[in-house]
Amino acid sequence: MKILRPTVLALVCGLLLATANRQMHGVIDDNRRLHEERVFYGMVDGADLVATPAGWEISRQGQLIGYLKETTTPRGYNGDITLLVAYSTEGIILGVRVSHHRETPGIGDIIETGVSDWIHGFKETGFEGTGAESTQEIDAVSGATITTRAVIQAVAETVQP
Amino acid sequence: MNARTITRDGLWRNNPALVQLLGLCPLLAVSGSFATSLGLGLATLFVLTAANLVISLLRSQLDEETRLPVQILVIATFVTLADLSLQYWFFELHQRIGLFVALIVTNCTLLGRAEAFASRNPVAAAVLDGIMMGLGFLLVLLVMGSVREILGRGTLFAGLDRLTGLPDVSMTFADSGFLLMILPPGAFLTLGCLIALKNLVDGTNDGEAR
Repeated sequence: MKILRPTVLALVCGLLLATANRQMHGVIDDNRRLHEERVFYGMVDGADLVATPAGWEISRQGQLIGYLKETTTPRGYNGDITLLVAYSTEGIILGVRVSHHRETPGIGDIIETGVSDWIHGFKETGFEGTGAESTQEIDAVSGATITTRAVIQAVAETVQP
Repeated sequence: MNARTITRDGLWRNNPALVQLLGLCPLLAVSGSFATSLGLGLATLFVLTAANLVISLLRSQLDEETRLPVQILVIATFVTLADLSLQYWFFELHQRIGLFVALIVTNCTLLGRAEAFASRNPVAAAVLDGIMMGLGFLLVLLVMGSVREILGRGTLFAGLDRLTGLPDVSMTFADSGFLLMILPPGAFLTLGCLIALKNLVDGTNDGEAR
């Protein structure tokens, strides 16, 4: 019965991992939520967020002031770029963050907040007709043209009425 | 095998990254900055030591036919534990290196040490071998991470505070760096230079010995 000992060992390992997962998944889920919330609340300046099927509603003192939506564009230089876009009910952008991307480190990662301030340039812009500077007018970055254009396009489409 | 030989093998003479050239995937992919290098190096050190310990304990119970699958099973168990622990204590760091933590299981250094050393040696020697091989790998990762971060980004220890919860000790030398060093070619160039440097040092030593 050569197979007996490995089988017992596999059962022990499985049990160990199941126990560890059971003990840890609560905190891990909290960590994930905290991480997301830190990103979210940083974008909306401490306003309240209520989850809805289409994303989140941003409200301050019970009053609806805008929406937060997640959007994914396939037009990145290296696959999908996932963005979080917060904008007011008038269509003015409150903030944009990249939540997932696989752009080239050192070039395309200019869209990350830790790397450059470029993404903050979206703040206070909007689609035409809102009176604010047009989102489409944000400058792409030479060297990272495809990446930055993809982000600009995706943000503009998200806030489009 | 005495402790001195094991230590010297792991850290220098048989270094997993510079001599055995095992585990190149994480070595090249994660060594873009000091902080990520430290995270993955420590995770590998933990898994290597723990797996060596358990495999050495089990060595009299295992026969030729089932030894390899059992070794993989033990390694995979510890990798999963390391993955869970990182998400538990260092979630931000896990966001950055999570993909490569799961890939530790395919790091040939681990199976190599389990098969070549831990399954034939007593527990104390196997644990020491795990620690020293892990440290050897960690040190090379740290050197590569530092060199690539300094040359490629003009910073050192950037993000260490955010990723690990340690105090912020980041330094900035320049606003921008030599981009190539951050990209994959920079990893190969740095590793090549390190191997050449090691061979140069070894060559000189041999000459003196003779």
